[in-house]
Amino acid sequence: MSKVVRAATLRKRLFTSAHKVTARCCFFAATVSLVAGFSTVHAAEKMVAKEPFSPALREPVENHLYWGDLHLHTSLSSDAYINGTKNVGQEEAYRFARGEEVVADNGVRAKLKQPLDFLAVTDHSENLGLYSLIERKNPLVVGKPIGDRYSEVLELFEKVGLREAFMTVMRKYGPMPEMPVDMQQSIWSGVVETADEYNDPGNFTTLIGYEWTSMINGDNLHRVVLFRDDADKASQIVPLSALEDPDPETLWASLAKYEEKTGGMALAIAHNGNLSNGRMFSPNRVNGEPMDQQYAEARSRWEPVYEVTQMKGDGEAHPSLSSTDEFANFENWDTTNVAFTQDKEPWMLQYEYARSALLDGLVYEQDLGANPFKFGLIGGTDTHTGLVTTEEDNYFGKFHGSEPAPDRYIEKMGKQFEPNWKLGASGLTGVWAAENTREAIFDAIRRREVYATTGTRIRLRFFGGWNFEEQDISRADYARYAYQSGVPMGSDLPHREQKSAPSFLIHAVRDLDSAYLDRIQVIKGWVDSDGKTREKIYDVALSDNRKVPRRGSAKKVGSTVDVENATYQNSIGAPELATWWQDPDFKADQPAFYYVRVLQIPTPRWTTYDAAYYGTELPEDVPRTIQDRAYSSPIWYRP
Amino acid sequence: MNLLKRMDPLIVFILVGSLLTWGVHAFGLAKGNDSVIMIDQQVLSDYLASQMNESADSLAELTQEEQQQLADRYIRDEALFREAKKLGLDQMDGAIRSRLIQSLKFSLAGNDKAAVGYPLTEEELQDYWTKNSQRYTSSARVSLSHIFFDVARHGKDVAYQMASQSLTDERIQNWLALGDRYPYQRVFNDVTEDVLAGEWDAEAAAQVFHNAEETGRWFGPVESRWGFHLIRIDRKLDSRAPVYEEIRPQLVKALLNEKREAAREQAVNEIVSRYSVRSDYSVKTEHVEKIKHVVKTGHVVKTEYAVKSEAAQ
Repeated sequence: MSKVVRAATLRKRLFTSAHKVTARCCFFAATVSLVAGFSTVHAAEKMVAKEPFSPALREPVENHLYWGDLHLHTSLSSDAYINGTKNVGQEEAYRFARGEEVVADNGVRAKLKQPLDFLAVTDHSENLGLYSLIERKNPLVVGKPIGDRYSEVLELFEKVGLREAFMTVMRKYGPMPEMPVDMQQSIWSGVVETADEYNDPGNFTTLIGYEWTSMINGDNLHRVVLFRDDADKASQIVPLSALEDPDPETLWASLAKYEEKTGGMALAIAHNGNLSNGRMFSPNRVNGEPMDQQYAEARSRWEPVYEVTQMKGDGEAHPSLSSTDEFANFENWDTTNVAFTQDKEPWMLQYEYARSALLDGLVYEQDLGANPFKFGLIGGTDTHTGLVTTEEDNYFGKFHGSEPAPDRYIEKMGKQFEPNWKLGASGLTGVWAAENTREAIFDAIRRREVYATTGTRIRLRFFGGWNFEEQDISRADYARYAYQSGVPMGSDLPHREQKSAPSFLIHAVRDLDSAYLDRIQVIKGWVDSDGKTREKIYDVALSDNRKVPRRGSAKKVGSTVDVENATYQNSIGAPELATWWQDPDFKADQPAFYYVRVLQIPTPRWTTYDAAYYGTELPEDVPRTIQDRAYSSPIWYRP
Repeated sequence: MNLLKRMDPLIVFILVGSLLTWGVHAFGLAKGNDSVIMIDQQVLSDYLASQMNESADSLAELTQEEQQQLADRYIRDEALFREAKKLGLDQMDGAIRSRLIQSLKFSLAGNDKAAVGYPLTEEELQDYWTKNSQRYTSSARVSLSHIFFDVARHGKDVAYQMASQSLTDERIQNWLALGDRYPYQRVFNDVTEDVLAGEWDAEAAAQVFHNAEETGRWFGPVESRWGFHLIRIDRKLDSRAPVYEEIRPQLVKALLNEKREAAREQAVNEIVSRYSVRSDYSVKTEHVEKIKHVVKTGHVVKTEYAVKSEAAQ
């Protein structure tokens, strides 16, 4: 770097905030107003009606792509708060996502390069908002058993750590008290009203949601719950706590009850099967009985999509399950369960990853007549900082402790788990919908016309049908045509009338702020004539004039990454890849699924950006580069 | 005793005082004596909890030998820590400095609603509105459809020709089928000129907004970084300044934030003003003077520090 440039950069870093002293200050922005009735001024403000949403005239036949995060925590989640996320509450999370500058809990002013289109704030339902109320001495908790016990926990936490703090308090007083329902209602109505307040149809959608945090022996069965509705419906219930019952079937029953009571709609999204030690896609129900048809139907009814990638590991595939997949070894967390109390054993993997579950689902459909694992794929952050940051060069970590700082990469997540360098700057959800509203986005999730990325904004269309032809992908209106004569991602192929094999139209475009593309792959899973599950990966479009080989895998795209300076060049790869592809191995009597994986060229991993910026030395086992990617929802073929 | 009686009481006081001080130091009794490391159960428990992330109670679970090892480790750590402090390493280390500064900043005013004058008065809000109304004005937006002609595919001249011809082609009624595949969206809803410029380029976006008044008519070709576009404006929303009642909730938050920030800034300035600065840089002292002025008058002003110090270099 030249001296002049260096000096200019230095000046920028030193002085930009000084100019902003009076103008932009979001600092202690009112998390206070999260709780309904907390301040009278705030309550009165809600009386002002918003400008009604009127969509522009349009032709929705091609749909729009919207970007967002469906899994995010703020200071209202107990674990986020206790780990230091105190200033970034739900309002700050929305403001940050829609493109405003917000001050992170580490004091840094942060702003997204590109705003998001939607956000679901999904704080843990268990003791939702409690710590924040305690520290703000809210009358709801002061002098109440729950307030007193938990404030003792808060005090002890600093000295002895969380586990010991709880143990000490429980030894003294017995089991921790539950949150009274009126307290839950009060906090929840604050949550839903804040979501309504920031919901701006046409521009920025907020989805009301929470996380149901089920853990059995420390094995992760967490679910994010999302509503299609506004506060008037969502406020008629309080979030279900998994402390009462960790069985997902209880959760589904509660969602059914919600729909019946309010006429609204809800769904659940599971995540981190990789930390479930074989429970997430287990052949058995939580009560120990084998899965049956009722279970399979209920599961696919309530859980239309699965969060396949997020900070605590990527869950698409595992190298030991997919030994021929050269890209399966990607940001895997495969050593323990989510509580880090039990080691992983090899048999568990099959029941933890999306690809193996999609495969098992085909077999269940044959055996039970229903597919419990018929899910689309979405990405989420699961960040506990309130800030959706998924880019390698703009990553704010999982907890306050992994927000940008020179030593963050060696510190442990939440002070006691894996080292922070293992965290991934992942993921986002792309949604194909006619408009940016709660209803349209929720409906797209339900019909699985959504896809996951590991944080980048690769644009991806994927259609399947019986009579697409090679030249169709070059049509200006290929999307309109494909909707008319085929199905989009997330669907079943239409009934087969011709004798042909299914064909697909696939179009991937790079993120304008990020790297070029390496390749498009189709991943096919099927059940062979012996009833065994099989998988195969096809390279269907390659950059740089590389040819798809008849056998084996395509040549590697190479790398332009300069690790020391944390830079890369878009001198390899392609800005856009589009192709028509027909399955060469199709068997009409074998059920199958197809989904698309798009890879970017290698870029520096977030830890590499950190090392270059702070001048630190990374441990050897930290990957220096990463190939961020997109996973489409599958298209299924049913004989 | 006689001697003592004859001596000036002040001298006695000083003598006794020095003796005591010397004694305390000589025998390492002073708390925080630099060359003596005290060890007891409390110290070790705290060490376990603060440095090793273990519960303080777990000390009791350690064997005698393990406790000894822990103590050895603590002694080494403590000695190194003190030595590092003596050498001033804590002053040089950017990470330590920023952590300390950050901790202090968090504890400063700004958290407290009363301290920043809550609730806000209507007058304050009106005043804030008058000063900042510009910031709440929404930009003009258009919704548009476009037909794309790919320069990479046809070359510039041919692409331009195709676009021009299509403008008068009756098939434009079925516009979705015309032109080439476009990498991104063919229908934009309510985009600002800024957003459009990001995807196309500034000139193309400016042309679109220049032609935005007439809806429903195809025009072009407009050249962008991708190629040529025929464009139809479907809707135009003018730039709009909201009315006060509508924007009031946002104003409350913004003003509250500003006041909190100001209170914090004030607290920082008060700390800074307790220090005097000696410098060859005239600009630095001037900065401190400015801060002192701020503290005195209670008004936060934008400093020109950055600009000036650049000039000074």
